[in-house]
Formats: sequence, C-alpha cells, structure tokens
Amino acid sequence: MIIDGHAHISTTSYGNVDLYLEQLESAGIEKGVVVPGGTVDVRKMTDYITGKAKPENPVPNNGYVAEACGANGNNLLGFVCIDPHNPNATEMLETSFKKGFKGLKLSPMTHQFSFAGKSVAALSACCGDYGYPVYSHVVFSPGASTTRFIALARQFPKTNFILGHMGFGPADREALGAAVELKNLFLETSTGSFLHIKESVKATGPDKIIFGSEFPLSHPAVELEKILLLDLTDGEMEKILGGNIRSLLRVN
Amino acid sequence: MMNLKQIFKQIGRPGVTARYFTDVFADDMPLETLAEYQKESIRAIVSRAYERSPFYGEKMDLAGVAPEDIVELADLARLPFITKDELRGKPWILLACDKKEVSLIQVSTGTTGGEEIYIMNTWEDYYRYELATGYPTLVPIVPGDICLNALPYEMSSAGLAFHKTFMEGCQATVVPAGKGGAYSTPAKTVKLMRNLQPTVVITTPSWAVTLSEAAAEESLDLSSLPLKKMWLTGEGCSPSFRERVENIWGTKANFYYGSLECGGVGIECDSHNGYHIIMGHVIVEIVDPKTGAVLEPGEIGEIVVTCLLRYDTPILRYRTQDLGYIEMDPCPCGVALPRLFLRGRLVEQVTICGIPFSPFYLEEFLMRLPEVGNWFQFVVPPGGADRLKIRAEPAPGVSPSPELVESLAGKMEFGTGLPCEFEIVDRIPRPRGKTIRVVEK
Repeated sequence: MIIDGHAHISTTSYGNVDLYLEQLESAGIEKGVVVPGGTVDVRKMTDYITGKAKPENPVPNNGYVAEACGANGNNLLGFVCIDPHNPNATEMLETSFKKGFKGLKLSPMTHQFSFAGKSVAALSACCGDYGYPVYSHVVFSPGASTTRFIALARQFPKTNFILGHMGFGPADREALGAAVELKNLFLETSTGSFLHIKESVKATGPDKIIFGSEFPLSHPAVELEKILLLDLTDGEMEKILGGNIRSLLRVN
Repeated sequence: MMNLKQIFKQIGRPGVTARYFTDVFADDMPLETLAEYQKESIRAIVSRAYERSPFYGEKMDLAGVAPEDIVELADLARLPFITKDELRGKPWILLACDKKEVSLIQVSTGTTGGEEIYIMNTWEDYYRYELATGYPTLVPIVPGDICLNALPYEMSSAGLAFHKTFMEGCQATVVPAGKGGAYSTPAKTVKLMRNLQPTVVITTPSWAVTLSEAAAEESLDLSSLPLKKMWLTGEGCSPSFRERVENIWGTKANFYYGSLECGGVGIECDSHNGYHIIMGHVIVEIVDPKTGAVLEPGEIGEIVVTCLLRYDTPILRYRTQDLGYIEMDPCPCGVALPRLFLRGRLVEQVTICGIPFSPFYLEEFLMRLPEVGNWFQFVVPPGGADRLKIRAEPAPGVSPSPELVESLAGKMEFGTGLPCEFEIVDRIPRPRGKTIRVVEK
C-alpha cells in the first residue's frame, strides 16, 4: 500500500481535495496524509521563503481537512495545523486528536515562531502523550532552523518528529546526521533531491524515510517516481512508501 | 537681497568646482566626469594638507607618501587613515589655515568615547565649497518649501548644516524648531507645525515619534500636513522603525547619512535602496577593519570617508567605525550615484550568547511586531548576556499578558535565533538628549 505522507489541501482551484484525490488515483496511491493548505499561495513560494511576501491567510483551515477526512475516511488522514502563538494551542491540539487528527503540523513560515519556545515544547509533549508525530518544515531564520528542530527532537525523545522536505535546501547534511542519531527523527522526501534521498536511505536505512508529495506544489506521481528509481528491495520500498508512516500514525 | 546662488553667479565657484559644477548638479553628472572631478579635488586637497597641516605632513612623511604620489583615485589607498582617537580633545589638529579664518566650530555629541572631537569650518569651506553643488533629484526642496528643522542646533553640526543647505542651498524657508532644547518643546513644535504647515520635516527617528505623541495630545493629525517628504538623520534606526514613522506622519521618510567629521555622505532616494553616495562631496571606501585593505563592492567592511570640499580642515581617509558595503548596480530611481548600505557599527554592539549584534539588527525584528510600542530598551549587561531582555511599551490598545510576553519572545527568537524575554512596562522615560536603546539594567 502506498501512502503519500505529506500534502496540503485547501479550497483553492489548484489545491482542493477533489483534485488531490484525482492525482492520487492517477498515481496509484491509496492514501494521503493531509494538512491545511492555503495559508500561503504556493505558486509564489519563493517570495515567502525570501520574506518578500507575507502569508495572506495565517489561520489554518483545519475544518476543511476534518471535513475532507470525514468524507474520505478510507483515503485521507489529517494532521492539524496549530499556531503556537495561540494562547489555547495545547487545548486545541488535544481536542483535535480526540476528533481524529493523526498528527501536528507546524508552519514556521506562516506563524513565525521559535522551535525553542514554551508553547512549541508544550505541543511536542502533548504529541508524545498521545503518540502522534510532529511534522514541520524548517526555514533559514535562526529561530526555526534545522538546528532548532533537531534540538526539539532531542528534548522530547518520546515524541516522533518528521522533518519535511529532507530539511532545508537541496542537501541538508545536518538533518541527515540527526536522523541517523535520533530514533525519533524522520525525514520526509517531498521536493527533496534524488541524490540526497538516495544517500539518506543509505545512511539511515529505510526505516527513517517517509515518502511525501507536497501537493499541490508537486504531483504525487512525480515525487513517487523519485522513490521508485531508488535501488531498493521490495521490503525496503514498502517501508518508505507506506510502512513507516502507518507505524507512526498507528493505522493499518 | 542677494543669496548665495546670486553670489556664485557673480564671483563664480571656487577652485576645482568651477570647472565641473557650473551647469550640472552632482546627482545628474556622468560617473566618469565625477571621477575626473574627484581626482582633481583629491590632488588639490592632499597637496594643501601636506603643505599647511603639520598633522598631515607628519603622517604622510611617516607613511612614505608625497603629494605627487597621488595621481589616480586608486592612489588614495596609499594615504594613511585618520581615526577618531587621533582627533579627540585636539581642537586645532586638522587645521590647514590660520586660526582667524575659522568661522564656526562644531563639537561632537557622541556617547561612545570621552574627549570631544572638534571640527573647524571656514566661511570659504562652509559656504562656497559646501554649496558648490547640490543634489536636487535626491533632495527636491525648492523655494516656497517650508522646512521644519527639528534637529539640534547646539554643539553639533546637524541643525545648522541643514539650516544652511535648505536656506542657502535650496532657497527654501527654514523654521529652526530644534530638538528638545530649552525652547523647542514638543508642544511648541506642534503649534509651529499647525500654524506654519511645513512641506518638509527633518528630524531624528525617535524625535519624530516624540513629536507625533505631542501632536496626538494637541489633536493635530500629522497626515493632514502638506508634507512632501521627511528626512531622518542624527541617529540610526531600522527600516521597520522608519516604516512606523512613515505611517504615523503619512509621508515618505528618507534617511540621510553623515557625521560631524565627514559632513554628508549618503542620501536615500524614494526607492529606499541604500544611500546614494554624494560623490560631489565625498569619496567612500570600504576597508577590511583588521587589515585596512580596500574591499570590493558588495563586501562588508568599515566605511572610510574622504571629503572633497574640505580644504581648510581636510578629512582624508577617515575611519568612521561604521560598517557597510557599496552597491554599484543601477538604482530604479535613475540616479547613477552608487549606493552605500549600512550594516551597523564596529562599536556599540551588544553581545548575546557570545555573539556580537548590532542593536539596529535587533530593532528591525522587534519593530516588526505590531504589539510592541515605539519605545523600547535592550537590557544587556556590559559583559553580555545569555538571553536578550527587551523592555518595551505595549502598542496602543494592546493589553499585556503572560501569553503576549511568551508570544513576543517566540516571534523575536524566530527572527534572531536568540533566547528572548520581554518586560512590558507602561512607559519608558522619554530621552532628553540622544535616545539610548541599550541599557545595562
């Protein structure tokens, strides 16, 4: 069974759930892990990365994800996105887990927090208590860098952390080194470099790598092809393409 | 009444400037022509400094440089630097003329060091040379403009310098409001603005905020003034603080970079894309602070300034202790003068987690937080700290709370990577003199 470990869905014409399901089907992918999209317009992603543009809709549309997962329970698994600056962040997270969300999505680019903040620590501890992972990308800003994310994973060994896009930039060696060292740190492949993914699988083994698409910025079939090109056994491939994320989310 | 413009027409421009600035302004002159002008000016000034100033004569002899060695602009790098420490407490050291020719003495007001720096001005330099060219594209001030000059007039050069430039250089109307002196209270200045309706305001960033608070108390809507522009100078500030000033006053605010020792160095255009170097008045070099080697455009180093219109008090290769770099790419505004970007100071850094930071860098991220008011202090002991403590007023309408404090610290750390803690206070005392952003406790 192939699971897309990371995708964004929103009410936009280019990133809505119907389009996503179509792409999953065309790629032969059975399930997708989805987070709220639409806080930024991914069609101008570089402007957000460089700071030229600011997120237009910083409030994540978790309701859309919940509704989509409710209507497509066999195909979609939701992560809730929470702004750590929200005074009720931890309560919101607990409520979301009880409603069926399977993980926490953090978005430093949208919400501009530090991984070293108290609220992020509380959220991470809560995820550990419930047995669900934290997923985040990292940015160039020092407060939400690879270094900080690794420190967070080290601080909360009972919580699993998924680092999006293999870390920052085309070949984040720091992220890879931490994934080798820390049992609770995983790397998600979407928009990652083929050679770096190959080197990472070699270094960490297949247990620490999770296939993801980053829909709508990329197409699930495109990102899947990178994984299929790896020279792996069927068992190793199965872990990356679905086994690892199923284990983290405790689903069959 | 005859003004300097008419005087220039009758008696002509002095020295080298007569051959270059009779029909064209420096911000409209081809760079190649400016380079020729600079070459001629530097030769004339170096020769005169060597002959008439014992200070320069001895320095050049020690460095093994003779005036004849300065042929091309690049030869400027053969001259030794001068530093602030060489000037402190020595009023007459730079003088290259007779004492009786000195018309105006201006005194440093900086807080970094101890002894004062004195800059002598002769009438010839202060008026005829300094005003031999202008930058009307960068500073579009014309007769009929009413310029509120809210810079200090006492001791320092700032207020008087712009008074001269606006009145004698631009033939505009000047209102000498001053800044925080015995008569220039914020309330009185607000009355002047209401009655006189200035079209230009020049002041420091923090005084702009002080005046805006007084205007609010007097129910004067600053955006109702017919301001065409503001200039901010006299103290540094971050782009985000300037943005606040612009929003408060409802007009464009451009930075002006200069100093007592060097006079004007750079003027920002409306593109807010660095300071155009006023090449009719100065040559700017960027040097490695440790080795003194001249750096390439785009490389960050110490700003070194040579004045092209100071004959009686020469300033040759003066190390400013400011950090920056030069950008040669064309500016969207169309002015060809290269641009200088500031990157803080060699001194006045604060050390957090063992790393030195410019307070302006920290201020940039702080002032991006709308919940934070316009008055703040970075609390850093002299030996540095492991956490950046920020004492700040809340923005109007913001209620302090532990959640707010935590949120602000998190956002600040996102930008700076530094552990931060906030102390929200009702009011931070308004400064009487220069605004101090870094305090010990």
